[in-house]
Amino acid sequence: MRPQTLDLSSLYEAHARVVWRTLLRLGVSTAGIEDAVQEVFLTAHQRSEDFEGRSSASTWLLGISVRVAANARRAQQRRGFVVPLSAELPADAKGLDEALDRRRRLFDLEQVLRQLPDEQREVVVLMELEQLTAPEVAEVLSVKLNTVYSRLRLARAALSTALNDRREEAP
Amino acid sequence: MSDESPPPPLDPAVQAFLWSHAETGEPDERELSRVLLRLVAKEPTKVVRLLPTPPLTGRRFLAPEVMAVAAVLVVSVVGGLVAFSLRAPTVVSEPSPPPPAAPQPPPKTPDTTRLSVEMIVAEYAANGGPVPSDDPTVVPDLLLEAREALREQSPTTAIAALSRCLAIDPASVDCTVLLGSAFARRAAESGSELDNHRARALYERFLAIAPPDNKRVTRVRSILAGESAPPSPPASASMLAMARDAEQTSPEHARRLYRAVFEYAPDSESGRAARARLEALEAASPVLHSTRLSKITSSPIGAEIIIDGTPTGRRTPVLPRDALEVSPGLHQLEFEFDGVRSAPIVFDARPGGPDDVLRGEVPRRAAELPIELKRGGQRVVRIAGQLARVSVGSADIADVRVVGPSDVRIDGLARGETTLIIWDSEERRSTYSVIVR
Repeated sequence: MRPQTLDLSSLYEAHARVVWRTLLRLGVSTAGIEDAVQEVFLTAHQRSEDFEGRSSASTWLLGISVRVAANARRAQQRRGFVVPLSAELPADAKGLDEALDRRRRLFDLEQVLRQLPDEQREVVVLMELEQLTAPEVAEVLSVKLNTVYSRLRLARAALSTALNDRREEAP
Repeated sequence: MSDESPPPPLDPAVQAFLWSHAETGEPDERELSRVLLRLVAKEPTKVVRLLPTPPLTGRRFLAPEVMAVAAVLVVSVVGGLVAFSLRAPTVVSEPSPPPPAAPQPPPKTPDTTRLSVEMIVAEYAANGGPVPSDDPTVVPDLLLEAREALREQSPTTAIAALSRCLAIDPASVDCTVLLGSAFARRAAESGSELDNHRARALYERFLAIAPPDNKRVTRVRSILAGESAPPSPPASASMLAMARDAEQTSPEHARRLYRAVFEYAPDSESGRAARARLEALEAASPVLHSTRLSKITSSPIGAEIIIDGTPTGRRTPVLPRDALEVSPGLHQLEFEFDGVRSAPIVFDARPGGPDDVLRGEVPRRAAELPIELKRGGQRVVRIAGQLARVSVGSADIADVRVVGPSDVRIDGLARGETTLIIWDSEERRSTYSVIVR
């Protein structure tokens, strides 16, 4: 057994941002994002002996994130999509504008990505948004490289269609 | 469906859309800090450390990750059998008690007048209520209950169930070995020599009655064979080697490993070497190879950061996006939380190198030290001096027993919170909050 050597707070400081945004892009709701991020890092901490150092810590965490996001999506489907009442509204108009803009952009992205089946969405998020290479994505998802290419091809076609539909629907 | 070749390039319109959302979903600092706080609060820890002033300066509480490393030394799980080293020291190990002048290994031949399996069973079987001695169908349920209790870190509950199990079926291999495991676990928690001997007696009985192909036989043999060599020299030696390796890449991690080796095996050669190296490292001021303080954290988080005696107006954690700048040279870093200030950390900031993590610890007020345990769970706490007396506010919530000259065992009875007061022989009083969940 490999002894546990990863420091949770250092791991969090280095990778929290990428884990956070990836979970959101994989369909975790804003209501559940903090729980999901916490689960990713606790899982990583508890299973650090499984981390063999063959991939980067970032790739390893993204692999955990993909699984946590899949579970979160299933839970959301069971109980419906929950929109939280924000407990911390920005105090000034500028802060409020920024917060609304963040929500709007996330909503835009979600509207497009949700057109994709989960397995294609995962490839798009990891390759097109997080800029991972195809072999890295294959490692994160534990699939063959050819499968990644296949999903990416289908996803790109579906994204083109989804964006065209959006343009046609726009007033 | 699969295809060998990479797909054609992305549609420019799709690419533009995705790139325009490259930052979408980024958390802000407040959100990040909130989750970090929750993570820190959730980190599992079994160790309750009450009083400061150990012989070494620095952290008062072992970091959870170090405890996990230490746990590798004392715990192993084989086929569902949780087998603590029978001679493992108590999990409460700070401040380190003075080493016994000549630790006596347990007798290889147990005292059969006290340690016959039948007597152990008779002693404990009644704890779970009347034994339905003619009903063998309850044995699987008792085994299940015991396994649950072991998973819940409640060996005393498991002992009661397994003793009843053995009272019904004295030839049960599973009950015998699990009861040994439960006593071993309790011995590891409380340091009880008697439980240690009980575990040995049960393991020996297990070896006598188990079929040779039982998957636990090898493990139990190795536990019994390794009993007289605490701790496992290869394990502490390998941790010492890990600490040496880590000195260059992560001095902070190296220190934790040295401390873990020292605390786990203070009398071994590795323990002495770890202590010597730790003292040497702590004597030297840390060198920070940057004037940009981008990773500052503390325990508890949320402490005010004071540099060179001047409050900065910032609180931990400090993350790279919002780093603190200092001039090159020696500086003193302190943390203050709720009116209590940490010991100062002197660091030498030198420009041009990679960032290091600066970490401080603010001693909590004694009255704020929470001791958390589950209902049915136990914690053993050790104070630095000699116990004089103890008092607990609500005996319905927690039962407190003195189990050694400096040790108090707390049993969680019912959900709630109460106060524990401990007086030492010099009439110094410490107050703790006991939370049973």
